[in-house]
Amino acid sequence: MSNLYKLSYISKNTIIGDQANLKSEIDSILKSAHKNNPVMGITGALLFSGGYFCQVIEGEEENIESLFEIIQMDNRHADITVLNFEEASERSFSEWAMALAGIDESEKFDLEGLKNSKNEIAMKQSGKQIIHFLEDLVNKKQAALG
Amino acid sequence: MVAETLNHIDTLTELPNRVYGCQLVEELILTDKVTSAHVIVLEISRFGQISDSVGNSLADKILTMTAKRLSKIFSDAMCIYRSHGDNFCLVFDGDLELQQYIEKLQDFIQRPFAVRGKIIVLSVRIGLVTAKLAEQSYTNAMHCAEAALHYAKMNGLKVCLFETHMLDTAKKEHQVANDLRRSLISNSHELFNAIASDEFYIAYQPIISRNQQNVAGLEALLRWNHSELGTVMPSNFIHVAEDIGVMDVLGAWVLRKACADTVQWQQTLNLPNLSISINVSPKQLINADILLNSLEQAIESSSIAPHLIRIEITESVEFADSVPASLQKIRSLGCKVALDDFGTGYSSIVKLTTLPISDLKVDRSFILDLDSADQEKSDKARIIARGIYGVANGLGLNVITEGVETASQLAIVTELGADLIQGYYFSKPLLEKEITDFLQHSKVAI
Repeated sequence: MSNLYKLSYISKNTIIGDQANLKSEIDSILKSAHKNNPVMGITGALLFSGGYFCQVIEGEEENIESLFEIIQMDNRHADITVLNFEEASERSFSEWAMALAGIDESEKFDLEGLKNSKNEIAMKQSGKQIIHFLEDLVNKKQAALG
Repeated sequence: MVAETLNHIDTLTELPNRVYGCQLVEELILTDKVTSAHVIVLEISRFGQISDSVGNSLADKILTMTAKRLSKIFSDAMCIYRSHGDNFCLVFDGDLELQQYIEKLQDFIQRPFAVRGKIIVLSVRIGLVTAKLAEQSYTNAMHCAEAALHYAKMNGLKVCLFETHMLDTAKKEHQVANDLRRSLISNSHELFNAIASDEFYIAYQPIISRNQQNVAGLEALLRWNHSELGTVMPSNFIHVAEDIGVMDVLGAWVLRKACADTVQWQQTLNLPNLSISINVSPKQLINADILLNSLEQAIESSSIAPHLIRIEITESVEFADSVPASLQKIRSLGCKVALDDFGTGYSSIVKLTTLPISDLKVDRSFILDLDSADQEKSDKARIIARGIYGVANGLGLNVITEGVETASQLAIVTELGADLIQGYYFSKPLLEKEITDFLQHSKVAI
């Protein structure tokens, strides 16, 4: 597929309430992703970790731009930091309209440090690491489900 | 009907244009009996540079996306329209709380835009007024908001609430811009030289070497001698010169004149190593072919040794991607490149390794605090200064310390290892005729 782009970002959770409420909101995010993303040819993965969202979206450039604008305006998160946005040769989550890589309160990355980093190269590398990490998590989950 | 729509709607963003926007607001004021309104005028900061850096079509796309965001976020606005270029106007009912709109506006516009593989983060300046519509017309209120925006721009403010004196400031600035336009009506070099020799002049501020106990060089500082306003500083006219496309011509004149003057002082006063520092604007560095050409011509016509020229750059706005290559070409000519005002604005420590610079100028703000009566402040300034000198020395960069005004500041920076020093303690910027005297007698003063 030509014109394939991948965008990864982290953002701060602004959903208030308990764990059940958080899970319900994340379910709602996934539900609308499962409904809308296939139409736009978008695939990706979402992780909730230590108060941060971490998401990868992949698809045609125009569609990524449009979806990212919608994501930006979502009040359930704030303080969005894009880690990388670049052309890709293949999809990492081709089977998933939006895979849930996990909901985990313990922090897997130094997301706060990443967010404040001004080093573009380091951020791109972190973005790639996060994509690989999400790929691993999704694969493990898929294997566990049989 | 189609023609009418085209006349009323901005074709790029699909928002109402300025004329139609004003008309819509005035109609709403009448029909809904609105007694007061918040008028918010916003401008995307340094959009010209963004446009130069990413190209016009991407810049247009960013404007379109900005317009869409504004419409989506502020569905409760009385009207949103595109005033011109990168300026948008938002009008709200004056009974609603203003602060929440400002915060929301800054928050959402500053969220990153993802466009064609690039991430663009915008910042905005805002001018605003809450108008009592029984006392002033909407058009008048809009002009007040625009004057506040202009004031914000000139004073480096993000948000500015209108006050009456801002109308005078805007009028004066407008006069400066108009006068400059009139003065620079032609790009003809001959005509420009004639104008320049009358209205523009260069002041020179000495740079002292503590180790050599002599005047190591001079910094050329452009001034405009305005017939009514008196001396106008570059901060008030460089942006106009850039906007109307005469910066290259003006910049070439400064290079030629400063190099020629320096060579003359080198020869007549037997100061063969006297160097000259010349400022260039970030815009001159984007398409640097003209700058490089002017620099080569200045070197050739004056016969100055290229290593005695120091081109000073300030990262007051984030540099375009092409800037490192432009600087490399300047270095290839044999000239030095100094990063000016280091430690402020966009200049970061990372730039010391990514930009091909040879020299560093420590910003005066650090020096000012060195002998502050506030012990904590002076201690911190000293730690920062020591750190900057250490990093620069480690990277093999020459450091020029500017803004030294007192004997105690001089003692501290000397103790910290500063060699090249510039500031009012030694001399203010001097006129051409004053420089000879200073250079002849400087040994005694130092």
